[in-house]
Amino acid sequence: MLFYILGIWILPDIFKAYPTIIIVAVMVIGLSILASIIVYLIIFFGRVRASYIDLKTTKARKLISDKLNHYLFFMESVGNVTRDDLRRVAKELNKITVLKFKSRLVRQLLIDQLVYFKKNFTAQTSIALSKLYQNLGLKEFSFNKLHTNSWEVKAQGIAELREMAPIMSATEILPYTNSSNDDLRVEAQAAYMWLNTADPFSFLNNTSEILVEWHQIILFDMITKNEEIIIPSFNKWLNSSNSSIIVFCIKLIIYYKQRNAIPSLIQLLDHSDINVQNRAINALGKLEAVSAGPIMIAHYSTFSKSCKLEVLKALRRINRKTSIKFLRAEFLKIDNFYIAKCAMYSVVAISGYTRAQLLADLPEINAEQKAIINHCFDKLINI
Amino acid sequence: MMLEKILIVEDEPLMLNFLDFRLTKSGYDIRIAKDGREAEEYIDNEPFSIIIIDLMIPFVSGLELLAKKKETAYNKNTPVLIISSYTQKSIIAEAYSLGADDFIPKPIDIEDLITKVKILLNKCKIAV
Repeated sequence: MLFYILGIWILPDIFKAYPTIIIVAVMVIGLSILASIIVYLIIFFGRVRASYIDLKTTKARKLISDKLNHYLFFMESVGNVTRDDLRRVAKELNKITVLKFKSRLVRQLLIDQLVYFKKNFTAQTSIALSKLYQNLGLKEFSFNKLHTNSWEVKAQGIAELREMAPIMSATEILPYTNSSNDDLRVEAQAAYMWLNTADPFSFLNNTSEILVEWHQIILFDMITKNEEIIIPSFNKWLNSSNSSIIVFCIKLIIYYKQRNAIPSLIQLLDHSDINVQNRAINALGKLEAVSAGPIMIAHYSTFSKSCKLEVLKALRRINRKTSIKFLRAEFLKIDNFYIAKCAMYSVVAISGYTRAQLLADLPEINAEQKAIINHCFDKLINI
Repeated sequence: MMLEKILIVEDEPLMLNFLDFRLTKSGYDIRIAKDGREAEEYIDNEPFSIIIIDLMIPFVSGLELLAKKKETAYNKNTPVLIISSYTQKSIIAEAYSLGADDFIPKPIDIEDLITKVKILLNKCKIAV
């Protein structure tokens, strides 16, 4: 109907003589051709624009790279550069970035190159890059990104500040360490740890969002890469209301062998989250917390199956002969194959018995239990 | 006076540009290769005083290039300086076993790199 009215309206004299179906068909064809032409024009101009930007970007990138090379060479060869020298060189670079191109794109290109160089070069080069970043006012440019609505831009700004800016940026980044956006949050947390080496984990006090496994890997990588980071006692976050933070801290307690955390870890045996309980038991074993052995045995019946298995492994690591009686009893219960197997492994590891001694000591075991003992003495199997 | 000729094999344009600029300023004649194939062509056809190789390069890896270098007529005894962000001991050990003379991990201290280049060149002169 619309095409019919359109046809009559555009060309009344011609179309009046034809049937409706013809008018509609001609109009549909005409409009399709028109739409195709418009789409092709949009694509064409889009590509021309993209090529122009590419050309401009390549040109700017080359120019910036050359100027940066000269600048870095000048900074390093002169040695004690005066503030005037620095201003002169910065002014020259500023001319390219602000006056010549007057573009955010070029300024961004300069930051990208500075960040690239900062990541790839140390010593004098690194210092010179930081000075330049400050003197060109690029720090403000990165800071402004923190106030945009787009999380990608915010994350980009944080990444730039982490690489280029001094410690004072850490406080600006702190609010984003609890952002609901995963990517922004992890970028901010990593940056905060990198910049605030004196108290790198203080953001954990306010983090209510989950610290997922891959965030933990990124943060761990950050901790191990930055030698200036002061490692705190992770004990203090074990009573956090955020289970993922507790798990992360338990992992770090194990890594840094913080045995002072043992009493707090013992308290976590009563935690409502099974994952936290599991991790705490694992940590107590790895820290060889002798005092935790009898407590874990006392709690044993209240634990889930996975926690029970973890207790049996932990007792093996703690390696006290006083646990053998309990482990032996768990093996003899045989209500669960995995528990019996794990218990026997621990008995073998702690007692140092031979296979013959064990079989003599446990005369009334069934065929399955015998098979478990044989399995535990098989040197080709390593659990 | 003939300048010492150095081949830099690196796929990152910014890094390549920077090393090219700095080593040229330090008085060396620089050739650059952006990937393993380009580097192969260079080492097959021209003698170099030293070769700087990034381990992660396209087409032919840095380690393969090291092995290949031993079979060339012009560069079988040319010292090689490895630069890489991969610092696993096994990779470094393999690079040394294939004939690398020194290793510089990224991030690089450029002064350190220039010093190592000078040391390797001096060692070569003494050996000759």
